[in-house]
Amino acid sequence: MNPLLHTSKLGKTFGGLKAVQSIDLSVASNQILSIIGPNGAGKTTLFNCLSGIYKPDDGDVFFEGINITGLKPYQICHLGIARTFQNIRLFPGLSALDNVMIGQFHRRRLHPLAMLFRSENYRNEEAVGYEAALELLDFVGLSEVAHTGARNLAYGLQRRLEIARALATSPRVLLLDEPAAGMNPSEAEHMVDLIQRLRGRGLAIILIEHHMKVVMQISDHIMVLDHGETIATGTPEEVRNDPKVIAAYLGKES
Amino acid sequence: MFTRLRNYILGFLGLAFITFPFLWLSLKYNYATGNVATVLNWAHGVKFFSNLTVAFAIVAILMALHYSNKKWNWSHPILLTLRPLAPLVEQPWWTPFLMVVVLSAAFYLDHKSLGLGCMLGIYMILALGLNITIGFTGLLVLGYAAFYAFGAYLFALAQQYIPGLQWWVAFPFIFVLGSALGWVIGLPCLRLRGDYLAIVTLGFAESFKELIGNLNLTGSDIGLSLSARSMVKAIPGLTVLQTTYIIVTVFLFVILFAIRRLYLSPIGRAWVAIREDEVAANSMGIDVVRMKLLAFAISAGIGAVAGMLFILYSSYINPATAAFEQSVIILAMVVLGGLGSIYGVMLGAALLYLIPEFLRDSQLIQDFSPNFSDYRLLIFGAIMVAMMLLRPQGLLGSHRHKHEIKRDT
Amino acid sequence: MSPPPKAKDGGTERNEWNPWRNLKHIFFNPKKKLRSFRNQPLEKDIKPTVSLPPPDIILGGLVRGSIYGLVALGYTMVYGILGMINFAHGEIFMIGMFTCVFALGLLSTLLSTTTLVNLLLATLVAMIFSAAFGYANERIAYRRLRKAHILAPLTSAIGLSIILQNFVFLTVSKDNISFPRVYSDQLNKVAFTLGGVHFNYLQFTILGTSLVLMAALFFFIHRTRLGIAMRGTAQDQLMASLVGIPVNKIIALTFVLGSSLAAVAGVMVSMYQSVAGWNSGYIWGLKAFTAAVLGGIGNIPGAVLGGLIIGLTEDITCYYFGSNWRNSVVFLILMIVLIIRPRGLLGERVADKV
Repeated sequence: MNPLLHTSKLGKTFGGLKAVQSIDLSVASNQILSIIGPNGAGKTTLFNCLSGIYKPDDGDVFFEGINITGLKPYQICHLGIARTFQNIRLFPGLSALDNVMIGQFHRRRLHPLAMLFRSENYRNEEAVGYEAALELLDFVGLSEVAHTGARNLAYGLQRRLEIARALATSPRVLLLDEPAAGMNPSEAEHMVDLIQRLRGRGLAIILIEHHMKVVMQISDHIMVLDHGETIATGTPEEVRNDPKVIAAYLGKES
Repeated sequence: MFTRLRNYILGFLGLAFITFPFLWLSLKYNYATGNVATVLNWAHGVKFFSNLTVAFAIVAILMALHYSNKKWNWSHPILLTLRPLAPLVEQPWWTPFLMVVVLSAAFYLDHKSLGLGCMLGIYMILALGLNITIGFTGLLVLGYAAFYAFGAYLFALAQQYIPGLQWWVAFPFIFVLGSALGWVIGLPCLRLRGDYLAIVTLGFAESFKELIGNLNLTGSDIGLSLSARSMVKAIPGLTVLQTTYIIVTVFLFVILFAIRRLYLSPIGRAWVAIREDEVAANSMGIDVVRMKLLAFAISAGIGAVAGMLFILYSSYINPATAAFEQSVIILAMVVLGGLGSIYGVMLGAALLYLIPEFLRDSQLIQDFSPNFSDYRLLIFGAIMVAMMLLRPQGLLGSHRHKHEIKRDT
Repeated sequence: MSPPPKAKDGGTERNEWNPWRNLKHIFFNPKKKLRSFRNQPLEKDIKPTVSLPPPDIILGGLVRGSIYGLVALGYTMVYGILGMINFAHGEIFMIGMFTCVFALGLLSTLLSTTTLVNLLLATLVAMIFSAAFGYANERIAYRRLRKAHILAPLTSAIGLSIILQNFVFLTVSKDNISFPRVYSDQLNKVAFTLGGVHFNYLQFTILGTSLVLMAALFFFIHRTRLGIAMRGTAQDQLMASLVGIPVNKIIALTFVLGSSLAAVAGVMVSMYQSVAGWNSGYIWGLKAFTAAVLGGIGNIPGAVLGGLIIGLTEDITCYYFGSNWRNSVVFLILMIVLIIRPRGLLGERVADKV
């Protein structure tokens, strides 16, 4: 299978600390790759390297065979990689709908004069965007709160809104950073359902998650990081029985 | 709750404690020298209250415009009975009438009020322009007056070299050149994080002031003066000032309209996204540097156009136009009126421009304390502090209600 | 390549084509005299060759710069702890100036102590007054607005500085008041002469006092318990309050310290320039703020370094180009530094938190 996104020997250093080193991962469409590992293993740093917020020190990132290493976050987003954040980063002063519509930004033609005079095309685009945003909100189950400010949404809804916003950028690859963090079992169940439906849309998903139940349920592949290094990869079954993983999670003595 | 109240009261008592003895001393002095009227002059009283009424009317209109742009929660118990008024409030069909009334003020206002109206319009344009960077995009600009002075000097110099240059020919060029200047200033520092745009624009404004104060070309300290008659071709049957008032008002309406539309467009959404969370905006596909530059350039261009209007009105310009105090006043208008709120910043401009003028011109106050106008800046500062303490988000600040913006597609 | 034709001595220079002269005529106002606090040679006397500035210019620049540094400390401390620009700081500096002049007047009539004791007492009074104003500033303009939008306290501080300026303008004088000569003359004596250039005690006093105060502040912040509490508060107010640091008091202390340093600077400036004006706080404050940014805002040695650089730049610019261009050159240098080192000279790079 041809991978949509893959990296080769990706590395990032902060001062002397090797946050991430020689990571090789690949993910194809309709696939879910989960990245697990103890806190401080470098999972979020890896996401930041993939989405362009950090510039990797070594190695390359390839998207559909094109080397995208060192591109700016917005350029990577334009190519079709969208992400959510571990600590929710919505636009708190804007409505849920506006948050989603901001995701459509790069697909809009920006002609200030067309906006000033509300040309035919512009109005059509705006209407289409509005409908598409409502549809996305409906998809993640937020249609009732479309006009509520993002700040006033409940925690679980904010997580969903972040996913809707990322989807609005019409990505091919979606990077989800702990989407089920801090959720109770039933909310986590809903999140699993949502991620499954996302896969149905033909997306490649990379997921960072601590909820083992969620991870084992939905992943096609799992990659385990510890101290910035890959210590195991494979299907959920393989990873579950890997002695190194058990050691990393439970301590060396086991 | 009570500690807050106590703190406010203590704060105000402190302020009163500092200022009161001096007000009292001045009054006492004026009584002793017989400067104070002992009988109320009714004409002055009537003037005072008519001025007050006009000020209140401006405030009321701007507030009405502001709130007509919000989604109202008509099921609220207080508003439930007013529900029949909904179409009236949410669709301000009276805006065209309002525009006609404001424009026709050119015919029934006296000379002095027309001058105030012109300057008020110019300050409103400046506040609207600065609001793009500070209110929408969240970039702190401390030297906005430099762009204002730039536009004014550009037009004044162009007048000298191209005699008979008319404003309608000049203003696109002034807008474009002002934007280009903003772009050049913004380009190096908008790539950096933090408040550096503030410092760099501040430095630019100081240097610009020094430059125009030292060049012979710009008349150094004395400045440039032009003839209003050659710049503004009066509409037949109207005076030059009336024509200028109409020009300023039309510019105000056009700029207001344009900014409103930009604000509701994807560009406006991108600006607000940058203000709310820059990293997230970048990850959502917004080219942050480019959008910031766009905001700053448009804002600078509007400032330059306001400078041109100032020349049309005053036909005189000197380096003090670029002074830091000027920038600070415009900034205060924006913050006081409510960051990011279009009608709010206009309200801020109206209050901060009219209060000192009002205090200076009021004969009624001067009857009681002839040198009261010396205190106007003191009172102005006190009002600024008090307003910020009572409403930190500004008078019509919409930080909490931003999500209720109505879209008109 | 033939050498360019030279003007003959005594020849009619007027008829020769001299582009520099024309340019000068366009850009400079010949009617305006070049002003500087040092006696500047007239325009025609300035040597065309570029030479090193004489030592008295360097010393003057250092003196000016040390004062900027002292005021900049107040800006940088408040910015470091609150992340906000203390806009009324320049006015507190001005209050220090005026209080000292008044206190000197009072002391010389009430007490028959020596001038030096009077001067020290007056400085103390100025420090106490300015500290009180600094505290009031924090209470009125900042404390209630600490959680508000960053521009709200900025605006209220602008309002407060307008109040303070006009307060002095109305109650004291619309014109500059002069520093009592009795006191400044004591220190204005020539200490020694080097190569025909006079150095006086006052300059050394200012330089010495500033450096001692800066060192004391540095010691205070890095070695004492309160200083550590202050640094802790700057890192994270919530955490600091959780470990028992009285955050409100620490922030107030920051304002008080900065204001009393500004008062000392005010005393020294009024002594140095022998005048004090209601609007002199603004330009000194602005330059000091620039100095703080140049050195890296929030960084204490940075403020000192920035102050010295700006003071030197200003005086050297005055020497070479005249005082008309000094602000422009200062800000030009600021912009260049910010473009090369976005966090200022000694500022640390803060990584983005994601």
